[in-house]
Amino acid sequence: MKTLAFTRANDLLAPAAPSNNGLKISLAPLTGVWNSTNEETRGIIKLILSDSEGILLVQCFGAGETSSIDWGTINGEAFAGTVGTTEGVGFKASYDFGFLQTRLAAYLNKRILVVDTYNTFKDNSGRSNYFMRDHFYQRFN
Amino acid sequence: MKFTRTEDQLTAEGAGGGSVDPSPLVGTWLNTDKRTGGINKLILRQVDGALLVRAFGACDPEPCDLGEVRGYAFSNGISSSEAMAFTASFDFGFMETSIAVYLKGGILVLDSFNAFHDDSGRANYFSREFFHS
Repeated sequence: MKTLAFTRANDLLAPAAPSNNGLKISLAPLTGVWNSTNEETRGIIKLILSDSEGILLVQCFGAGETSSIDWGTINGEAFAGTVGTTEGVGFKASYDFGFLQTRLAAYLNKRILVVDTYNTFKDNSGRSNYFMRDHFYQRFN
Repeated sequence: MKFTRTEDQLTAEGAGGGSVDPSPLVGTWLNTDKRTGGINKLILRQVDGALLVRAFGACDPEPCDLGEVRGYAFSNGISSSEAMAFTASFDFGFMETSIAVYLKGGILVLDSFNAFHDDSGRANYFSREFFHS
């Protein structure tokens, strides 16, 4: 059996566990329209996550004064809960707005999507790089 | 001034906080779960204003020293210069680990996003851990 490189115990497959043989992570738990639990958020008001032939697409809408601001659609990278599972439980993605880079680090917690943003300004405006967290839910009819 | 959301905008009387001081993050941080299979210790240092991040993985019989990398500090708003979060990335060749970390109530909350590049069949995985100083 091939010895797997690792950095910590969680990197190792359990002895009896089959490997995923390169299967892609299921995006189904992540996809859909996610609305902020806080209608007065000053951060992200809505996300649309979709599956395009196995690639996670991320579209965010920022909270504006009078209407939301469409940030556009970018590719995201999905993650499972362990090395031996394929169900998507988190993702990361990065927007480059030129004057600002926003990295998203997101995960699911009991069907609440928690999205942390790490925001780095590149425009010498004097604004501090900042962290922000928003929570999202899906509406069901 | 450009913005992507209301939070990016300075108020009329407000000023930006400027560069973020990482000193509130500095120290040795231990996992609250002694039996973790993930990261069991972080050592955060400030050198010439920069944040340096050293991590240790849970290995048997001794922790794995994952090395030291540059971290990037973040405050809780555009007008604050006090760090309360950081990001860092470790490239091990066979895998890459990005960590996204923030302080909450004296606890450091660490999210790691782990992507394999070795065709080992292991799924890229996310984990969340908590640290005390």
